[in-house]
Amino acid sequence: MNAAMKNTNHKDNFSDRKRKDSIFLFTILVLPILQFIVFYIIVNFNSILLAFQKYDGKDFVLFGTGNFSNFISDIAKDPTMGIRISNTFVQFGLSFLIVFPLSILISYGLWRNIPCSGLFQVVLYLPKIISHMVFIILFRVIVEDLLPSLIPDSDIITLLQGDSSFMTVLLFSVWLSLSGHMVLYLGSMSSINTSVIEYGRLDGLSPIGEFLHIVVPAIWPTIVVFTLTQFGAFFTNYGEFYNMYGSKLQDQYQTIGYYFFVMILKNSSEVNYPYAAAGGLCFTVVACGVTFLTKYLMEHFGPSEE
Amino acid sequence: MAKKNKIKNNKNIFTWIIFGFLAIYSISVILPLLWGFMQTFKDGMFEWEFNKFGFPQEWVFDNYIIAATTALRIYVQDGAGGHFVYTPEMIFNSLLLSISWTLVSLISHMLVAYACARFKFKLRGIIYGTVIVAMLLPIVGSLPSSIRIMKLLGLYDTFLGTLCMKASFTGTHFLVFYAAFKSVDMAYTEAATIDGANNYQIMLKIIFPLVFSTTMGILILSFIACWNDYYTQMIYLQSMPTIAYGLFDSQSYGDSAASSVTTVRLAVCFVACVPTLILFTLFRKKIMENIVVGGVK
Repeated sequence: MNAAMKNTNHKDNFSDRKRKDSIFLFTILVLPILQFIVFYIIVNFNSILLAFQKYDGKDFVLFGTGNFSNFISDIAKDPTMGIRISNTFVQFGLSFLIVFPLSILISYGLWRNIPCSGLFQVVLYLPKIISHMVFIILFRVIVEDLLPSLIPDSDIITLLQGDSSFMTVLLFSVWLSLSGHMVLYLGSMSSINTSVIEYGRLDGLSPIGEFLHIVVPAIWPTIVVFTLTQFGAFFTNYGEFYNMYGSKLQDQYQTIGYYFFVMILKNSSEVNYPYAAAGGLCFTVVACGVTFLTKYLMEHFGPSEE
Repeated sequence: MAKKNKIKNNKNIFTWIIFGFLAIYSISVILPLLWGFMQTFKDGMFEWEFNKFGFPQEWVFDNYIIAATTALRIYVQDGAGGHFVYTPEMIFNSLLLSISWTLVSLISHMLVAYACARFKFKLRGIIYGTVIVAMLLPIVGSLPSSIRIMKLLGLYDTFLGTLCMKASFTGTHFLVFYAAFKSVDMAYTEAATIDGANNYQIMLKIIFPLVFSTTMGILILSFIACWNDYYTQMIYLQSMPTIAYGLFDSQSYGDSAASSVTTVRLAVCFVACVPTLILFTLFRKKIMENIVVGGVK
């Protein structure tokens, strides 16, 4: 009978504990989950609804697939949209093919404690600490004020005004974003077991071999995550173009991300919202497909730590 | 805490190539900043026109006085028509928004990560998966819908609205906190329970202090990001311009002193950098050593 009473007491305590845990979890999770439901689920669901509506000056009314037809027609027939798409590919190419591998290589160099690595890490952090607007203003003052006064008869001022402005701003974006992910690559590399490195060097591994056969497999999950975020941002990334020019950038230098961003901001009216939502939905479908395919390929065919 | 690599590294051509590249990059970052800082001590109306490269012939501090007072000016619509917002109010807005956005975001991340890391419940896997999916799923074109929902809820262009927006638990900070809470031994919780502590006491007085280092690192980085962020304010809270937005406006649209006088504009840049540089100087090690995306693996 005592054992039965003990068992009952134990069950009561356990269910009391579970009830208290449930109340506790409810109180700490209810607001964050509510926030997520409103600002993620409802916003994205409304985005889908918006894509099938149009603004008649007073309210949003059903418009069927009209926005999608207009968007696909613009993509297929409007030469300016074609230019924007090619600019987007150039921007992505620079970011993915140059910045991305360069940041990993530089992180590796810092992790290997090259001379002055401490100082370099501090300098590399500066673009994360100081607002990009500060660097942009400095860059513009140097290109538009200082350099023309030092080299009076040159066309250096057109770096930001003429046909070369697109590449100038792109290269400036590359320079500014170089340190962006180094922090996290360094963090991933710091978790590599030093004995593995020692074994590799005893076996005669060169720095390149160490990088390819030890470091890259060890930080591969981090590389996968940031590769996928690069692909995911393909259609939304407007680099430093908006920071540099606001909404005044000429059509032939715009990217898709810049075009849609300015479309929403430039006019206080909501007339462009449905078209932008439809375009965004089309881009989401493409980006999702590419992102998940890339994830599958990288996880199945990428190097593993074992 | 990130481990330090204790292995001796032999210097070779690869090392020196990386060193050379980083040396050039570092010079390209430091030199313009130093040059810009030097220009802020020149008279913007006279000396700047003929001495754009050398040291100031006469050191003046007027640029900073103007920078801290009337250099930035943005016209803001309000119920009574509108008014001009100047630099001091922008600095106040920056402080208010940065501190409140940081705290709200931090609390949201910590609470959800704590729940998922320390408790077994049905929603745990769904919440964790949601964070991963939200990070990886590229949603394009939700900005119009987001603005519309904010307007429908009456939260558009309100301080409360931006607080609600920033209280999201998705993102890499969730993974950092999740890993941090997971690494704390359950024995702490069990011992505290035996001593009669409730869940709130265990969370606030035992577990949260144990991850204080990680919390401080993320808090500082979040504050810096919020201080430098002007997109959120520009899109959702135009009635409270921050100094970051003031800087953007001064070189794109503005008609303020910062827009017309280069040395004043540069001085405002450095005034805007002061809080973030102070934080970085004081907490450099904490910022640089404590952020590890352990959860990514």
